[in-house]
Amino acid sequence: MEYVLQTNNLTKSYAGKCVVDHVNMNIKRGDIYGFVGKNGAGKTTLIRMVAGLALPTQGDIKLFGSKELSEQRRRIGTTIENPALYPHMTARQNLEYYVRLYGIPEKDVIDNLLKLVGLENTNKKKSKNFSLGMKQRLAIAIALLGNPDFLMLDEPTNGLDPFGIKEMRELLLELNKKGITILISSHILGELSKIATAYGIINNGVLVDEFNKNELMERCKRCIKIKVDDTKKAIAIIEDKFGTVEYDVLPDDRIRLFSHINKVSDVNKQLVLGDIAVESIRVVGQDLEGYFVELMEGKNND
Amino acid sequence: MINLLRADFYKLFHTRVLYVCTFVLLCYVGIVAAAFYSLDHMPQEKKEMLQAGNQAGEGVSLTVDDETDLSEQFLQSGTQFVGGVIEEIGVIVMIIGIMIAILVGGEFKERTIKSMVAKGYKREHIVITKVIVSAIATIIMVTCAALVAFLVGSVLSGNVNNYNNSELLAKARCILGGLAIFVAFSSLFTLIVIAIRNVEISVVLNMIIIMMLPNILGVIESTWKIPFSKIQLTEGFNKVIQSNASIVNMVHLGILFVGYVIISTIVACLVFKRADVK
Repeated sequence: MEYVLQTNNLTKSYAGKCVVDHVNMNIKRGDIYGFVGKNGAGKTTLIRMVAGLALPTQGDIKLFGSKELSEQRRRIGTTIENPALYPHMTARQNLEYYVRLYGIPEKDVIDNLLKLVGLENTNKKKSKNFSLGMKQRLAIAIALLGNPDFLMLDEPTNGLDPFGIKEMRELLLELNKKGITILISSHILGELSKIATAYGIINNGVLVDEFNKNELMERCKRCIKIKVDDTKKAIAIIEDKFGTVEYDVLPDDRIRLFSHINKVSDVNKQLVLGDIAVESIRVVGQDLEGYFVELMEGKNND
Repeated sequence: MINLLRADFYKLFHTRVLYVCTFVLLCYVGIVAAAFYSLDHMPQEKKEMLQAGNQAGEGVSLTVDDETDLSEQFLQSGTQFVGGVIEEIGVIVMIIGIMIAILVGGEFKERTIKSMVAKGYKREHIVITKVIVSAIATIIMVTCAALVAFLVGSVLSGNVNNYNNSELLAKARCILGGLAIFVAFSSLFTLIVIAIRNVEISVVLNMIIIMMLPNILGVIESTWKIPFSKIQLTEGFNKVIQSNASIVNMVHLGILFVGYVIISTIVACLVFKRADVK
């Protein structure tokens, strides 16, 4: 499995306060990695360390399997926090600057990028007079210069209207199809869930969990979770009394029943009548937002 | 690093800082030329009034040093005027300080410096690029001012050159020496901006260095006998522009120039290497 980004105990402290705490992150090639966390959780600090803007207090970073970060960073495109634009230059002039900075020889790349992000008609308008959404688009155009293999986007939909968000989503999906791995940090879980193939949850500087989309769906799936003393006997009773059922058996004598979710009391009654000791029975599973919030706040309570 | 230089030169010529600062310096040259011209065409008794420190009239008042020989023209030739403009180190260095603070400090204010760092460019290369571009911007600005001073001085005085060969050589020393210290100051200001990473504070600090530091160092030198004058650029320059300047003075200025540029660049690299970029 090829990883585009791997961090090993990556830590950043400011004046004794740990803002990124021993993070071990792994982003596979080809993923759209949704990086989720509250304000001040450490998302931007981590991205800044990967981009070389902040020096880690501890730990290391591997990009494309290599620790030669200066070389590998040329394969990354980034937008971090506010768009970094020259205010007295137009969109085209800003791109001309970055074309020279990145040593890009192609002549038509600027026209193509301006068209891609919808800024082809800005003409002589200076970037200081752009709306936030226009600045965000230009920042993304700059990040796409040089055909990066890995895009790191810090809240890319900030300032975009619903149409802009939809266009951004379609653009990112198209780029991902071309083989670009993408890391997006965002608060907008609804948008992330439409495109992300993997997730990382960070809370108070700690990477709480990492999972892919399938695992997330599994975790959020509604079911009746039953802890019994004899799973085989319990399954037999459930199949006998309720017909064809969808279920799986977890370690430590737990059963997840995905059908008949509205018949919790009946299930309990049948198990008890069948001489099964039911230690616990409850309906679990929730929507995406609820799951993420619980993950972030659950660890906080710990 | 070639790409860094190409990009920074593109930015230099497509933003207003260099043009505005050059314009300000040209205005200063124009105002001085106009003042000299009007002094030269003033009746003798009015000139004597200026020397006595009396008000010449309403508006801007001019005074002339008591030691100035009023029988000579202020504006004698284009060459003479260029030399005089270059010798006004304080004004030119002040404008250089403001230009560098905005040119380099603006990268930190607008957060565009992170684009270079995030793309994998070595921080030392970024610093060296800033030093080079600042020096080139300084040379362009001063050269423009010198050319305009030469033209204006020649036209208003009606004389291109009034020097013999040895005097011309002395003026050439003055101009080259002036350029050297302006470039040395530009590297010093670049170090300050990279260390502070704030446009407004950099402007203030650069002003303090120009206006107050020579006096402060002079007081320290006279009180505690620490030979600061040996490492001061303005002192080195003053020795070079004297008519009896020797090779030793010129070598001394050359060493100061190289020392300031190298040490400023190295310190800026060390400071920026460990800094978090916002």
